Amino acid sequence: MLGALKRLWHKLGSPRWFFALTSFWVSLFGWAALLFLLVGVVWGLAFAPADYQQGNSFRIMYVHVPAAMLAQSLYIGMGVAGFIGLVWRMKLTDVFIAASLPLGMAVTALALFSGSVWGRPTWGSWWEWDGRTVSTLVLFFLYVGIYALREAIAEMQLRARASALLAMVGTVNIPIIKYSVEWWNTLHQPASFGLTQKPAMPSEMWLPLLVMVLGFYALAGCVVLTRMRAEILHREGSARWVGEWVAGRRGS
Amino acid sequence: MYFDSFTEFLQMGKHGLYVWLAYGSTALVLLWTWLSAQQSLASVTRRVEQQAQLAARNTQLAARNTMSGGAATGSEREQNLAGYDESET
Repeated sequence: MLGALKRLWHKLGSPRWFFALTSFWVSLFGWAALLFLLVGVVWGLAFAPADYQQGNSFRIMYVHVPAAMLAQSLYIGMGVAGFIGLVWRMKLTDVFIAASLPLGMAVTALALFSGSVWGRPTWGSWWEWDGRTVSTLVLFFLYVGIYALREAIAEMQLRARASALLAMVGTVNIPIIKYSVEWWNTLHQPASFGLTQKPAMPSEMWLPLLVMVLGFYALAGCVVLTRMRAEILHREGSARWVGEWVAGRRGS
Repeated sequence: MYFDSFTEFLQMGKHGLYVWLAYGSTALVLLWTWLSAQQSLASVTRRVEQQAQLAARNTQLAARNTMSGGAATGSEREQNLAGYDESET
């Protein structure tokens, strides 16, 4: 059992093995994302009942909440990858960080923008210096910071170590985002959705949200794996297995 | 269907602008993340394929040169060098 685990651990560190394995998962996640997002958008926009206080503007929740959740999850993923990379010197963790950055930045910007658009009819303002809004803005700057850091350092090992460290340190911001609605007197509504408690809304309102969250995460799986494959090819371009892979592609 | 007519669906009560702005930006951003990832894999793949072709050509040339027992002709050598330059960029 332990031996098998150890073998798996070593395999996980091998870019070649990862590249061979992920082709299937990219298409699976891609189709799942398309399906979930289409169903979720139609359901959330046209079939879910309007909120008794917010009217139809509450439908923005179906894109705002998944974007914000994914923005934080990806950052946590980068922090964990950074830790593993620093401790066990695994090649793939830096590939993961590089591959997650563009998507993380994009969905954080999306969470901020859709929140702003939702805030206008609900709070009466496009922007509030609210605890959650500001800590999410900090999250965005962390993504931008790691991106800029990577662009600035040419030496690969140093770049990997520096971004791993920044990703790790930045995770202190995640609990701040999470508890901001409890710590500070705030405009942002608390979570109406959690793993442990029953949702504070009827099922015809939260089911589309669940579908949208699944769609966002499936898309993230597809996009991050695709980018990791590109990054692996880029780094291992002269390795023998890449040559064999190219030959196999031309043959098929 | 929650709405009675398509116009009502577009209007979203009085929140049409906000709802459609949020959904439109989401569609654009998600589409961009997917397309840019595909594009980056495609371009790396193309480059790796070119490098593989180049390497194959160079081994062929080298083999031919050894067989003919002499150095490569001038033009062949230039081709070789040009190939290496390409692969470095």
